[in-house]
Amino acid sequence: MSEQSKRVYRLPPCPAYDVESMESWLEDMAKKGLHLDESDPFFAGTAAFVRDTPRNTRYRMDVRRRGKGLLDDNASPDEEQIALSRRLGWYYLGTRGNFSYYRTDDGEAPELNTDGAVQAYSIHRLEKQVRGTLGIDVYYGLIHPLLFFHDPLRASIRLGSWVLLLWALIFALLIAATVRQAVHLHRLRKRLERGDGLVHSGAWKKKAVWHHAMRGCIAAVVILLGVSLVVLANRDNSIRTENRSPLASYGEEIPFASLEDMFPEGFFVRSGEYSPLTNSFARWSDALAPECVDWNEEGTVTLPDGETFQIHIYVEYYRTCSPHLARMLAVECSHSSRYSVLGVLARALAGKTEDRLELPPLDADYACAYRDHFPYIILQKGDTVVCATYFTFGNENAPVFSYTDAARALAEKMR
Amino acid sequence: MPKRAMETLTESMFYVLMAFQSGSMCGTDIADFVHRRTEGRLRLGPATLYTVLAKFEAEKYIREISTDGRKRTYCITQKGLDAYRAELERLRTCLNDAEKGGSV
Repeated sequence: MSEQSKRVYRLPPCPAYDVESMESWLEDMAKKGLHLDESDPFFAGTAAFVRDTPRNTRYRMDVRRRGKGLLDDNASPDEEQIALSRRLGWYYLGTRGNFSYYRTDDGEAPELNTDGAVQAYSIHRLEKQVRGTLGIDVYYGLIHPLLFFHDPLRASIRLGSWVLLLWALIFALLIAATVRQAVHLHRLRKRLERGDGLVHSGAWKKKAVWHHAMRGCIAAVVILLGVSLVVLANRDNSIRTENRSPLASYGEEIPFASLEDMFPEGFFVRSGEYSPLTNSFARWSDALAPECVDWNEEGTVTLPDGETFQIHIYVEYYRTCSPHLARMLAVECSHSSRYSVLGVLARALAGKTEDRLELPPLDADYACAYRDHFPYIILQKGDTVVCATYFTFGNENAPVFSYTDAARALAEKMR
Repeated sequence: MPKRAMETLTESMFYVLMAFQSGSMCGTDIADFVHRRTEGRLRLGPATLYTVLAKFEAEKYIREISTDGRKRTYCITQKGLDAYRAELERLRTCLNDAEKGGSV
């Protein structure tokens, strides 16, 4: 090999597990004078070649052995195997994924794998490994969210439904790729067990277009997700100061009942204090809910007898794309969905019951209230959902502000 | 072809177990033995040889008894011996069946 040869990088035209296509591609490259660089054949997903005279080189892949260590699932070939391979004409080049790569220029050298049934064993081991990976992907992509996340719709609207859609798309692509790999290895193993040898042909060329297109799509989705996460980091409406504004600057009609609506005129005075969690609002739009408002309001209520108390209310308002979606969101926000599937089971096993509150008849399509330290009210009318909670403080002797009054006021004001 | 090839040993596997009848061996010794015994008819590819050794070790047909630098030495176990003898008997039966009635 010429010492002056420069490295040439190429993207492999097929997945790493497609043994026949990889071997065929490398052999075709060798016929054009491009030979895998022995010193570092694979780098960052690309294959590194050096230019030399075109040759009829055979490239073969061998499934990496199971390692002896606890975390060493796939070991590189040991020195004895490398030495014996060299004696028989095969040069070990390196590893990529689950495979070790060898090549020979000696037409008389025996095949790297001379027994198809034995080669099927190693493919079978790899197949089982991939099926295990598939199980993990399905669990974390599908089962884990269902078990542990209790408000995916609300989270989508608050974080950006497009972000979660991209996450879902990535998981779907990951699972699809793993399924494809498992199916491919299964079919390869079956052919080897039947006694059919590997086929080295130009078929990799047809697969290349599809493979590169898929890689491009996945890369685009990952980049989009990266950009989304950067945007998301600046967009958390419930916490970051710069996304919230003083209530006084809310110039339009408030689409839900505020504290001023809940108390007769003059009885409530909003305090002048402003902070991200006091007398502030955030407003945003999402593909699933074109109008969303987070509302924090605090002030003083003065009763006719002169007693006063402080009250703080937190309202989430969503105008969704459809009444059906609004109902799903309302149910999600209600106490029964407040816990994940596992949480509901745990509470049932512990004998804890939901602290539901009775509501009077309301002009709403869906109404729910529960107590979890403070009263929570969830109302849905048409495509609109309002979730509100409040607490009073400052006067232990003040009468309790009735949650039913709050629910009536909220329901009356809902569009 | 059997569903699980370990139920019936392939030719490569049979010759690897045969090699251990001569005593403990490393991979290189086995490759040389098979080449000599078959007079070059059967050449074990290196990937085939080491896959068989790994499989036999997992199935406890052989066990590693020493590692000397880059050389790992194995010996056959009783289970491996039984498998070899069972295969030998099977092959003898096949040959006897073929020779019955002077068909060979």
